[in-house]
Order: sequence, then structure tokens, then C-alpha cells
Amino acid sequence: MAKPTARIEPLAALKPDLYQRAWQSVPHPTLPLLATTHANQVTVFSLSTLSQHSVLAGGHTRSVRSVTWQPAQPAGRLRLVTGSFDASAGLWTWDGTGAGAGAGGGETKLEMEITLDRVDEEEQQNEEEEWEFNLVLEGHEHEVKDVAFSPSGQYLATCSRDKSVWIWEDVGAADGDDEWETVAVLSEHDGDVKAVAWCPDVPGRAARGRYSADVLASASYDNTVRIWREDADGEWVCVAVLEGHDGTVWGMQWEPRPEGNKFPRLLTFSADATIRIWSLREEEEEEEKEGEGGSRLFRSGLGGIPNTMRRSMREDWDCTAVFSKVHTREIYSASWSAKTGIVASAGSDGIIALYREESETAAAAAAATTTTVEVTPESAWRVLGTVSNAHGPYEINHITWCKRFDPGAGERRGEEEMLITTGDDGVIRPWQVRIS
Amino acid sequence: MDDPFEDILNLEEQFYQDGYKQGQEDGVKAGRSEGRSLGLEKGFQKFIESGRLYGRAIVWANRLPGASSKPAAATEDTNDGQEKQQHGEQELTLPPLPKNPRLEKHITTLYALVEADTLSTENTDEAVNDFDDRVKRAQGKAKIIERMVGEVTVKKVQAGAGGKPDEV
Repeated sequence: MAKPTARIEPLAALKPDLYQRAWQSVPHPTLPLLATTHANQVTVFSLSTLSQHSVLAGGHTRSVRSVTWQPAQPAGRLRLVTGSFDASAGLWTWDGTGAGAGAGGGETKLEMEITLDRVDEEEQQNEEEEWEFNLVLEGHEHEVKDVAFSPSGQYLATCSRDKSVWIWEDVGAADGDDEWETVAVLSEHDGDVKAVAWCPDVPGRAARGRYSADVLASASYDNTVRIWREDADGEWVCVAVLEGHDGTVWGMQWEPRPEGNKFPRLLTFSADATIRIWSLREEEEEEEKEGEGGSRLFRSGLGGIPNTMRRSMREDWDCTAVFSKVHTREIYSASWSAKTGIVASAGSDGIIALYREESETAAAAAAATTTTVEVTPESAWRVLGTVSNAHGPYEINHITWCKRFDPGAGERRGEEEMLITTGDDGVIRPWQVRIS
Repeated sequence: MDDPFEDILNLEEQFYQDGYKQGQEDGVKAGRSEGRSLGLEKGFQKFIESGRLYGRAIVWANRLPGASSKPAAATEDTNDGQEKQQHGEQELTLPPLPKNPRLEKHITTLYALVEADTLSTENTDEAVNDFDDRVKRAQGKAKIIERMVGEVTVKKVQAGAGGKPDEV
């Protein structure tokens, strides 16, 4: 059987050119929109027209490095959170129901008049709409590097150069009240925390033992990734430390569609130019391991003595795959497709690489396992294709899979997946991927 | 047969050994005094931090509604300017905290983390790590409580997009 390869073809870049270093492009979970951070602003692009939809400006004094869409919004409303080097995170709202912000700054209205018509019907109604800066979330001492919402939107995680991860919750009574409270300040990393990612809501993700279902991962300059879970007291604790990378872990992504009911694996990419996959060692007798000295010591709740002793790490994670080395320099970004399971990576060397898991090898390895403890089988990943100098000599800061909504997709509009790379040259470029 | 010239021919070796021994003794002495002062310094820093957090935890805990009203003799020293209210029941000089179960939980945890008697003063790796870990977690908790109680956590911004930058 001929080995499958990928053909990666560049499509027309999103307009306008930003002429500023761009850091991240995050697609909206459902709508054909893409939010790109550059300098101290965010430009939202329409994926139908591949051109600018709106701009978020004026909220941050320093570079905006990260952005995340708030999930589960009512129709016509957009909300996102920006993370900035000014040590704050900003909450922004776009109200497309006509009740949005009144006359805004003259410059932004003009910008919108210049842009092409938005094909998205919901937002076409009121040309005077703009993003409203609702809230500043302050607290971090240093630059905020990443922001992420939990799958339900209940929690927002932010991380910073101050080595801490903060978890925020909106405790406002009604929707849109915006009373954000800091639920946890987690300072266990030994270095700058570069990224945070929540485990997606998949069948394998369930509350286990004393912990609730939400799982947060954080990647750091200290070469490790930490996994955090919320225990019965509402305390966020570190349940595992993933060591193995030889350099800063720039980020991670959870497996978007794990097999069956398995707990999602974690993909990490690092300054050591490798990509690794980590799997949770799922064991059955977790309940019995609870507290070596009998449960009384560890009983907690409002009435009892809170457990302040350092609980032993509750989870064991193994590195079950290291991708073949394609990159020559730091890998800044990787994306795992929910649709095809293909991983795309990009980084400082300007190379885009695609990988896919070899299912045959994984199945064979699983069959060969005869030990009583379920050891997660190693998996092999094959390189499907690469592109060099994707942004010329410039570094690629971000790569993401994204559904195509432009006319070029033909009948597969809304289904076909493309890649979007974000580079230091300020160019946001989509790529068509064909696997043969 | 001992070589009569052995000593003379091995002079360097002897000087080396002398120097080495002397260096080692000096090193040990200097190391001890340096280690002692470093230990004192670090120990002081660590315990003053944990004590500070413990003090704050006590004050917060006593400000919680439902806490027994004890004479506020042990309140923090920043109360210099405040008058003590000599009412029959309430002798607290600080306003009570709002009733909030989450807040109570945070304060309870903070208190437990830095309770003076439970912190070990041993110098073993395990004890030191435990101490550091608890103090770090306590600092995080203190930040959360501060935000819930005192300083304004979030600022609502009135400026529209594209307007004046917000004063951060």
C-alpha cells in the first residue's frame, strides 16, 4: 500500500496584511470567524470573505499575545478574552442583536466601512457595531502569556511569566453581570508559564475519585507540563508533572477525539524541537489508594480539618510517543485535528509539518501487551509532508486547523479543513491540505 | 630499606598535603559560619513570611460572621489610629466580612496551611519542601482572599472600543 502523503498548497492570505508581528489566530468554535492577535490589538477576520470583520483596540497598553473565545453564547453575541503583556486580561463583547455599543470612535466606524460586506447574515444588520471592552482582569504580576476557557465556559484560566496559573470564575447572578472572582492561584511551576489548555468535553473525561471533571494543563519554561484538577473541597491541586522535554514547553493540545472512552492524550511541543504525546495510565483501583494512613487524616469539607499535607501525585502519565524530528528549531505551535486526527506543527524554522498516527503499529503494540497492569502502548507517528519557508524567512508563531468557509471550498464549505499559519511577517495564511 | 632521601625528594607532595589540609580546615570553618548565617537569614525570611500569613489568617478568621467575639487584643498593629469600640458584645475594630461560603473555605484553608504549630522546623529535604510548598500555596490563597475582601478585583470599563485606553 502506497504511503499516504500530504500536499500543502498556500491559499490567498487574509486581508489586510497586518504589517506587525502576529502571534495567534484562534477560530471561533462555531462561527466562520478568526481572531488574530498582533501588536496590542486583535483583528477578527471573517472566514467567508477572508477579510477583516472587526478590530479590538485600545484596551491594552502592551502586546496582546493570546485570545480565546468564550463558548456557549446566545445568538448574535460574541465574547472573547485577550491576554496581554501588560499583565492583565481583558473581556470584550460584541453584541450583534442591535443593542450594542452606541456611536463609537470615528476611526473604527470608518474602518468598517472600508471592509467588504460580511457574508455572515447575523452580523450584517448593524454596521455601527463594535467591540466593547467590558472588564479588566488584573492580578498577575507579570506578562500574561495565555488565556483559555474551560469547555463549559465556567472557568477562565490565565497564565503568566510570574510562574503562576490563575483560575477565574464569573460568579455574577445573571448572564452578563460579569463579576469575576479568582478561584485559584497556582504557583507551582518553576518558570514562566507559556500556555494553558483545558481538557475538552469528551466521553473519556469524567469526574474521577475526589476530582471533578475539569482538567487543566499548563506548559512552562521549566520544561514541564503540569496537570491540575479540582478536588472535593474546591481546591485546585497539581495531580501530575510531565517531565521529559529538554527545553521550554511552548504549549500543548488535548486529543480532540480520543478512541472510545479513553482519557484524552496530551500533545506537547517544545523548544527542544520535539513533539511528544502523553497518556494517562488509567488504573481501576484508584479509590483504594486514597490516603495511606487511613481516610481520617484526609477527611475534609467545611466541618473537618482541611487537608494541607502534600497529597502524593494522583495520576501517572507516560510519554507514549515522540514524533520523528522534522523541525530544526523551536516548535512554537501545533494543532491536532478533530476531524482527521492529523497533527500540524510550525515554529521558528518556518517549516510546516504534518503527521499522522500509524494505526497498525498502535494496534499491534496493544495486542502484544500481556502484562496485568494496562500499559499504554507506544504509538508511531509518520510524517505526511512538510513545507519549508512557509512565511519566507520569518518565524511561524501559530498554526491551527480551521474549517473552510470561503467560496473556494465549493460544496465542502464548512466541512473541509484547512491550516492557518500566523507569522512574524504579519501575514495570516490559509493552506489547503490534500491527503493522497 | 628506607631511602634517606625520600623525604627531600617528595617535598612537593608534603607541601601539597599540608596546603590541602589547611585549605580544608579553613574551608570547613568558613563554610560553617557562612552556612549558619545563611541558615539564619533564610529561616528568618521563611518563618516571618509564614507568620505574617498566619497573622492575617487569624484576623480574617475572626472577622468572619459567626466567629465568637473575642477581645480584639491580638489584632494587627496597623490599628494604631483606630478607636476601640467598647461595646458589650462586639469589640472588633475591623468591620466583619461578608457572609460567603467560598470565602470561609479559603480562609479556613489558609489558616490550616500556615498554622504555626504544624509547620516543621526540621532541616530535612522533605520538611523543607513541605514548608515551601505550603507557604507558596498559602500566598496564593492570601491573594485570593485579599481580592475577595479588600482590593477591587475587577474594574468595569466604560470606554467603548477604540476609545481612550483604560488606566490599568
